[in-house]
Amino acid sequence: MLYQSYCAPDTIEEALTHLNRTDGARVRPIAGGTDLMVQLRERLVQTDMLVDVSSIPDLKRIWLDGHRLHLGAAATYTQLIESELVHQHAYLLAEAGRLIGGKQIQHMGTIGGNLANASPAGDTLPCLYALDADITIASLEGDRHVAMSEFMRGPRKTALRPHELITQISFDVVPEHAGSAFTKMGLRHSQAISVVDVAAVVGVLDGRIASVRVALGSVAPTIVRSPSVEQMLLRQAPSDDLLDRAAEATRHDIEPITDIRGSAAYRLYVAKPFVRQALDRALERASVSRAS
Amino acid sequence: MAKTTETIGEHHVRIELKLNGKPVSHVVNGGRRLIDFLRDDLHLYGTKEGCGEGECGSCTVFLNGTATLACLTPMERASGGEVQTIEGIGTAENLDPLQWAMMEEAGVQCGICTPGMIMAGLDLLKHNPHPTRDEIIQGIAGNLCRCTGYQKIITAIQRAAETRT
Repeated sequence: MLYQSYCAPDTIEEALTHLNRTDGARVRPIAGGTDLMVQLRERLVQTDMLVDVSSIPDLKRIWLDGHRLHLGAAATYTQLIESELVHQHAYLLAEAGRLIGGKQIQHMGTIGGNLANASPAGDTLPCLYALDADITIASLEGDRHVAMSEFMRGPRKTALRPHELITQISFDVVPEHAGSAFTKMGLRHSQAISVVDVAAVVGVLDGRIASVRVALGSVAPTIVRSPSVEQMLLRQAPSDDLLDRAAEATRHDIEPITDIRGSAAYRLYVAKPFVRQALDRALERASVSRAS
Repeated sequence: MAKTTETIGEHHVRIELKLNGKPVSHVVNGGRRLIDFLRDDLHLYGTKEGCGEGECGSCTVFLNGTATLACLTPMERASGGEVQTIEGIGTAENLDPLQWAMMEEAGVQCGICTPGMIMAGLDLLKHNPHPTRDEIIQGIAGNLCRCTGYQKIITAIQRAAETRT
């Protein structure tokens, strides 16, 4: 038996009530289950009750409110891939979704689950750093907001407290003059856990880089922004030489480890071309969106 | 509708669902995976367990019309819904075009990945009736064939796409 009991509420309030059981039972929210079911089976996680939030309608919505895009925490990767709003306003998330697992994992896995699982190799997480996302966390006491950069505290460690539920991810849309990109180095194309992944959002005004956020995954205990890259690019006119030097500067901001997917030295080596590729693609998309 | 899985006794639950088009209702041990319910309780052995952790796709079934990995799904999630397994695809007398094409193109070697490949193939054809070879490769990217018979599986899906129209 992986868990003792199960419920599938259809409102956030009802889910929170279950998560606040006071009888000492261990309770866990479950969304897609693509990580949690494996952890339960391997006894890495033990729980008495699963609260299935994957079919709560309020958690599955994706909507635009002015210049803010909101993603319900139980939105699946397939939803990200297919959403017109995501394509238009945060293309890198659709790009990341397509590179996660295979179709079945994309149908099941959710962005909130990716956050709660807090793997340094979680592919949507660098995107949320590059988008400077805000995480809405609900509890019976009300909602609180945590910046993405504060949410992840270490491998599998988050700002989430027991009895709380991630309900929403929100961020400013990628502006007209900017482009976004996600690139990933895996050991194969599909079903691969990242060796290095990179998210970039770059804005260009009057031929100069007006805004830039670059984040990398799988190269440190948490996702990291790369201030060295960002500072080198800001207010400069993008050139082949500049982009190359900026990508090279990534190494100052990452501290990869050696594991079964790659050595620390290898990760340092491949981070550069993947940062370069992400910058190139984001810049290309910035110019396309300006031209259209 | 909130799903409160009816608990019977200490560990038993009632699972009611439409399975391959027919309503079924079973009182079984709860707290397990959908694949355990299908194989151990219902003795539907068509759905295979390969890796048990979402890497291989051999346990793919349709849950409410979506290709789902039965090894990562709490069994209670299926209650109140619809599940289609390989047993619900075609009949011995009237195979689905994809089953027929898998035979004709010899897309089957040891057979363990075959039910999952067919479910993934059908999921693809449902969303994209005329996929390119690249799109087929993407469509079955979540399914492993340890005999490495991918070329013939891809060709079979291509052939099924042609014969289904």
